[in-house]
Amino acid sequence: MQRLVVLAIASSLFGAACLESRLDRVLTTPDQIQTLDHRSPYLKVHMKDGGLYLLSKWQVDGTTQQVSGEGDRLGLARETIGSGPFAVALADVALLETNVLQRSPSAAALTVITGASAVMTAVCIANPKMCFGSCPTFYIADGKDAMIQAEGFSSSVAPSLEARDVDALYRVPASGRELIITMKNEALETHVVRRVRLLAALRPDGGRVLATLDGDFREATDLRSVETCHADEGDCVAKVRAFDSDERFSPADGEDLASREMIELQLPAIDGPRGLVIASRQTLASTYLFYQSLAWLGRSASDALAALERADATVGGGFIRLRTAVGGIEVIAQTTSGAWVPAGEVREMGPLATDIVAVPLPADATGRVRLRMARGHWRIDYVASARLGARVEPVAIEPWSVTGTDRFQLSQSPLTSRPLTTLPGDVYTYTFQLPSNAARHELFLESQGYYLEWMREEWLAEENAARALQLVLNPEQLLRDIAPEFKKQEAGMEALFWGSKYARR
Amino acid sequence: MRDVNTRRCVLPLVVLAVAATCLSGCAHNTAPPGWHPPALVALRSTHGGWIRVEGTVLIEGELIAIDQSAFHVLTQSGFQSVPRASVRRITLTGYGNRARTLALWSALGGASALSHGFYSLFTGPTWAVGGIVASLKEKHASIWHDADVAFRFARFPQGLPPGFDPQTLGALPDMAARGQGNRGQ
Repeated sequence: MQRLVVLAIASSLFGAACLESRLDRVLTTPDQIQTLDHRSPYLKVHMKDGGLYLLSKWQVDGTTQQVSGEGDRLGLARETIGSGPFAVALADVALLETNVLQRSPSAAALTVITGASAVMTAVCIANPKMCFGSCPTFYIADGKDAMIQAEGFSSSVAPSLEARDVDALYRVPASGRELIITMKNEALETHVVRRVRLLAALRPDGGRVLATLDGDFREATDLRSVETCHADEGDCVAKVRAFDSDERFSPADGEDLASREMIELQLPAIDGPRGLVIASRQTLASTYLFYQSLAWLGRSASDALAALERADATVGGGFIRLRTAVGGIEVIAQTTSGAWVPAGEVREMGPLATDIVAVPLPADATGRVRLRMARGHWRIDYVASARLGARVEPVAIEPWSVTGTDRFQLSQSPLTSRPLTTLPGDVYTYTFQLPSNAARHELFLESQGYYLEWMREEWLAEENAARALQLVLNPEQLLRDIAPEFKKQEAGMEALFWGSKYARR
Repeated sequence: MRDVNTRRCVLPLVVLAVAATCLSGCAHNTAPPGWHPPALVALRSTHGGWIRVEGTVLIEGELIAIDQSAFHVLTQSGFQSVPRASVRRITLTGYGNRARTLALWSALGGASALSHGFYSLFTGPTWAVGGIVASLKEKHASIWHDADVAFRFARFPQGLPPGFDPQTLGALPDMAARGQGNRGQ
């Protein structure tokens, strides 16, 4: 890292050296002496006979029609004929030449890049954990731009945690017979992708198909946004009434990262089985916790992951306790008896792509619902109610081609039998053939695999055996202890991360 | 089903691309070393710029003057006047540019992007694109092909003096052509 800082500084020094590298040379006839640029440190006086005066401290006297200064007089071969102060009659002058150094626009542009880059370097030195993404990201073009639509198996940080992840492609218009999905590895990670395929579920008339927490797919009709939404900050209905990337989120608690908050919702009245529809994703708090944990583990991180692979009860237990302490979005519904009963817990992992799911509510639910979650850990884009209908069995669509960025294609065995291992910067394009009536299908992206986070040199500086032990033995206390430090970085972390193109939505 | 295993690391390639592209761009300069002084030095230059005249003949040397009828150039074989009608293209190097420096700057900046972790996926290409564009623009900033601009960098921008005797100039020293000469700066 120190070497990179030196590079950044060296780069800046180049900038300083390069800024004034353009020369603005202007030739003026003696009758236009009033236009001479006096910023020119030298005045070249081209004589009618071909001689030349090179003058510094020059001045032009319009009254006496003379130009004067100190310097050299040169002949046709530009040999020096004399030196000293000179006064030359304008009548003998053919042209007056000024030369002014100017800033190079190219160097100025690089200076801007250098400034931004230096800020990024400084930020990353101060907090390396802010500068990395996670898990495979999936982009789909909407006709103009490729937008991130899903992130795969975010919590599968070890082979033993390999998982299947289903993300709704809710905002992808399925028109035409082909869908192209780009999968990227945009982090310092190794991704092992066992499967990427589409699930296509036939929509009911006027409705959608939504995944539920238990992995089912249900018909959803009469989708209507919430009538009221109240949180600590006040009315939040404007933030959650549409799936429009305008999200409701709150800052983390400064004393306990597991501290809970509550959102009160009133759903519109709907006949029949009702479900709460919620589109959400995590904030960067979970990413921070994960990377900070790796930093504390330091050189023993691989030992901890190996213990996880061996199903070590202590390490595995600590991992589960930490996840439980942070928790998901608990959906709690009021029933006609007045009791509040848990309906489910949304745990869509990852801070990049928003996923939408349905949480079936009790048959006697009144329509009043509470969302309970750790402060500062969740971003909620959309909350609605829907009438949940029959279960739907989606059709699996395997990709008919997968192309790497080098454009080579191999006609080998399907990915389902051979995992694809990707490294940082790898990009793969999956092409799917859609059903003939694609517009009537709800599409989901199913991915399966795991990823291995790369240990960064900067993280090793934060190796802390005591914290690592606390992580395993008492993660609840750990979340309290590190809350103040997290709060110091929280605002900048979000701004930096979402200010990047990665946040394009 | 088709499958590809692509193994590449973006950032080293980005840095290499910046360096290679820009440095190759810098190399395309018709003036020999010593004939493209930095702007700060060219402020005081009393000689003409380096011109390459392409047409029925190809000559290179110091631009002495341009007038309505000809380009006047001091070459290693002496003073030559090339009728404008026979000229297809001129390339005048007025002074040295900093394209090479900008390329190196970009390469160093691109390397520093390695410290940005995930964000290097953005800052790395920014350095690459910015570096390439800036270097190429800088490379062409002090090179002209238009006689109406090039004359400003002639030894005699006013045209050949009355009664001018080309013999007074002699020939361009060979050592100067190789960039070892003293151009009186």
